[in-house]
Amino acid sequence: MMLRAKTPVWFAACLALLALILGYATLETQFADLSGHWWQAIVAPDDEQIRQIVMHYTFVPRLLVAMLGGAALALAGCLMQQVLRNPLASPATLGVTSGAQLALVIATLWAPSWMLAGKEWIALLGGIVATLLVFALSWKRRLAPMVVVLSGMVVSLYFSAINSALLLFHQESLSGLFIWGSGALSQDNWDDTRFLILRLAIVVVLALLLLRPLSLLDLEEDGARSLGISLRKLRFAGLGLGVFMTACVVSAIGLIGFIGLAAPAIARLSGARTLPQRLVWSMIVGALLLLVTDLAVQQLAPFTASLLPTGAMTAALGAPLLLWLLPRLKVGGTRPTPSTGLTLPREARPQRRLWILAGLTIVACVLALVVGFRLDAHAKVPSLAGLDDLALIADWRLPRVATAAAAGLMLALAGTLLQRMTGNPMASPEVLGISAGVAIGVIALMLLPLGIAPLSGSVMGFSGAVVALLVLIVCNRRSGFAPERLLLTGIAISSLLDAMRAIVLASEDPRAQQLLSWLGGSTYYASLTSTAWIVVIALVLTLLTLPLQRWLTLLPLGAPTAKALGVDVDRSRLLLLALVALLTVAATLVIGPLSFIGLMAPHMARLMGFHGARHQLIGAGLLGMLVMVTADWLGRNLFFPYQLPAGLIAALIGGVYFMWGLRRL
Amino acid sequence: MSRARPSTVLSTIVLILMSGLAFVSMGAQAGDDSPSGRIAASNWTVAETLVALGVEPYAVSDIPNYDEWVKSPAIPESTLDMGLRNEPNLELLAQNPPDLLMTSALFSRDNARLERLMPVKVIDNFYTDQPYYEATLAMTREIANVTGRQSQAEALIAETNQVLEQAAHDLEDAATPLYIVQFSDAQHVRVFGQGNMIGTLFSRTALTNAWTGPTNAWGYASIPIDRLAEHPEARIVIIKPYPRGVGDELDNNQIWQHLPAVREGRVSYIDPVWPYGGLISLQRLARSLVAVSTPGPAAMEGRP
Repeated sequence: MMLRAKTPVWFAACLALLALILGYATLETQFADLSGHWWQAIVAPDDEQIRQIVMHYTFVPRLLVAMLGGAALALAGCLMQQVLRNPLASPATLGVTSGAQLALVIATLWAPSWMLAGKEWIALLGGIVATLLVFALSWKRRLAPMVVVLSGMVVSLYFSAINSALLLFHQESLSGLFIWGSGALSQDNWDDTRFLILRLAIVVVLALLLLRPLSLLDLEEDGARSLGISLRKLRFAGLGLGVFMTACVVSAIGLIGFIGLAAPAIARLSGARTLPQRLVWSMIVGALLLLVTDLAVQQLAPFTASLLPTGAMTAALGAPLLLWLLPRLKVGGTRPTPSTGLTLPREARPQRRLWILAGLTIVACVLALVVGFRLDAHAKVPSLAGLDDLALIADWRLPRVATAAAAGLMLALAGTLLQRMTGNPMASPEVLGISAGVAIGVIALMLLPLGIAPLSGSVMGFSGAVVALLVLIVCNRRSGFAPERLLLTGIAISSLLDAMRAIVLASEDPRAQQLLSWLGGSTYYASLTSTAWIVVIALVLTLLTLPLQRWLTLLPLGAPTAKALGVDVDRSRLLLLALVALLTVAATLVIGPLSFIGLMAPHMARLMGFHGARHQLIGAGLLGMLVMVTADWLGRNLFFPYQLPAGLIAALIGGVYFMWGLRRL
Repeated sequence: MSRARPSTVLSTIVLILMSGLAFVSMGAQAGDDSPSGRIAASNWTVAETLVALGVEPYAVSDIPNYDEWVKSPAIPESTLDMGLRNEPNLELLAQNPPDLLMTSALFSRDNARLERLMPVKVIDNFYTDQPYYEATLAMTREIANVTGRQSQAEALIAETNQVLEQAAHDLEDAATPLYIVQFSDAQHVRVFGQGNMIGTLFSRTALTNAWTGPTNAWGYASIPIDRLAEHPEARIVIIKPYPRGVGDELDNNQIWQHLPAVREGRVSYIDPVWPYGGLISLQRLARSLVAVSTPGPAAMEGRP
């Protein structure tokens, strides 16, 4: 228990003091020449004095926009968390941010004239489309919290995948969008300030009108319904407000992800209990958090050659804060009630389906090896490979196909283990943060000017994974690796990777394209040696995983039940965790951290009726291989000779199937 | 009895995949008697230099974007496009391997693997200990030695020196410092400094760079445009093209509109040029700079 913190006042006061100090420091360092004229520059700048103009049109609106944006995101996050009764809910969870970004990228590339109409409206449109998609996917389940968050994550991943594919091909033309995408708050007029203040005011008024019914959501679902509240309408209205607010912020100042998740959590932890208290304190904390971060970023700016985007820096600073907060966060009570859980069809004859799946996987592997483009004089024609092409196949196609299959298998197994262990359908290696840890290590290597041996990529990746794992263990030991805490820790680590990625992309480093390609999960660098290793590792880990079905059957029943049936819960969780980590590290090192497969494959297996632990493991493994191999083949041949990363395509294929399956629930 | 089956299937599949490894020893050995001098280039700067020396490259990466960002000299029609710069398509190259792949340090992660297909040579004018101009001369000579175009290379170098001297002569009286920038979006520019061809031009002519802040390994810094006001007396030279939409947003950008250089008409625009490129790009940039820096042409001319 914390000793202070009966009320958020102290926390807010500390932040405010910090903001004042940093603000004054910024004025002193950047506008010292205007000393004495500060007030005049803010209110009525002299048109002839460029320094006064700069202060009037950049410094002051930037301060206000940071506070408004932070407050608006916190408000949106608070509304979403209340509606979904899930402390993991945030604007990003609903796909609003990636929807908005995708809309802007598409408009920039193919309809630049639309951009003239105002890019905030295009972003808003994208955000609304993403949200409607999420609503459509979860409508049949009466917008049940878990289904909404699940749909949101899928839509979000799907849009980001399309986004990354476009960025790969148009890096030079879209560099400006990297800057916007990472949340640089630079201002050049008062338009954004006016835009945000008006919309924030409208949303606050509407939120106040909804305050009483929304507060009743704190009761259990049935209780609220018996009070005569239409849950569907209420959730629609609450989420709608949050989405609108997010879209406004995103369109005005870009992607700033962490505030919407952190501000409400901090407010709740430091003592805001009722909904009105939480709303008000979330907004204050959100505003101050973004303001302090932005002022700190402005202090650093003169010392570097690259842009430090505030949105990405928020995430970088926020991740450690979230990790520190975790042990103090009460998430246990907010688990969805059984009525919101997923019920799935059970297949009567899973064996036959498994054989069919296996057959499909083999066919896919053979086709992926044999079908490709031939160079005929100067034309590139699709054709079947003959016997004389064995060298070509063995050297340049086999490693990629086998690597894709092995990675797909391992990610699918890791995802299945994780979802069964935590009983949480949102769990995947990516959510756990281990692939993010690997990626952070590899990015660090890419950016540091260390001329070490080529092996060091895997060394750094492995160190990253080990650090991520240590953080996971340290933060979760006391709670006995409770599922929700584990996921939250993972999200915190992943947000660090997002921050690093955004900072690298916004820095306009020419290496960004290489990074994008690796993050997308390309098999390009697979060689026969690396492939042999990865296949052996995948086989060994698979053999280790299969005998664990007893744990996997009992753990989802909950810790008390499992304990009663003779399972050492802590030890089994730790062992499973280690296995997941190994699977993830091996897969991520060869195919990048985009482990959509780890989320998809176990679900697809369950949707196909593989319900028992063993059947689900094998079914998911086969599906992971099938999807990954197909994705790799498409990536290699769709735009031949240009190649798309397999992970990206897998996300695009898997996403469609997953949305369709979700719709059928 | 059926319980063991799925795992058997699984192992079978993996075994099938593994059996492919048996073909390893048969490795690719194509390209024994192909005509000599067929060169593939994954780096645009190398491709530019090859064409400038009169070599027709066998394959170049990402030709559509080359045409947009490097522009000149044009890649011949007969040259193959081999995909993205950091991932030359190996399935394509393997079918008729070139005699040499020229790659840059930026795009090579695992050259040992590529060398099983064809000889690979890292040729780069960045990532060296030398300053840009010396590194580019060395790169040009290296390419010339490999392709047997030494005389063309010396001619190109002589021509470039002449262009630079002419530029130095024409720019003798250019006292006003200037920012050379490329827009990233309506609020941010890349401002160029030491470490690329723009730095070379500043050191070889009387021009002075208004940007004295830090730059990255490619010789530029990404900054918000208000920092262009740090030297109010400076001129601003913009390398086209504008990213999409920026032109219109600038009209509404109060900082841009109030910059002394903009208010007093000291902004000029020059044609697209690859600032990390080779000698041809350097010549084009020098000529463009002279054209916008010498008295005569209206400053706002050529606005995109």
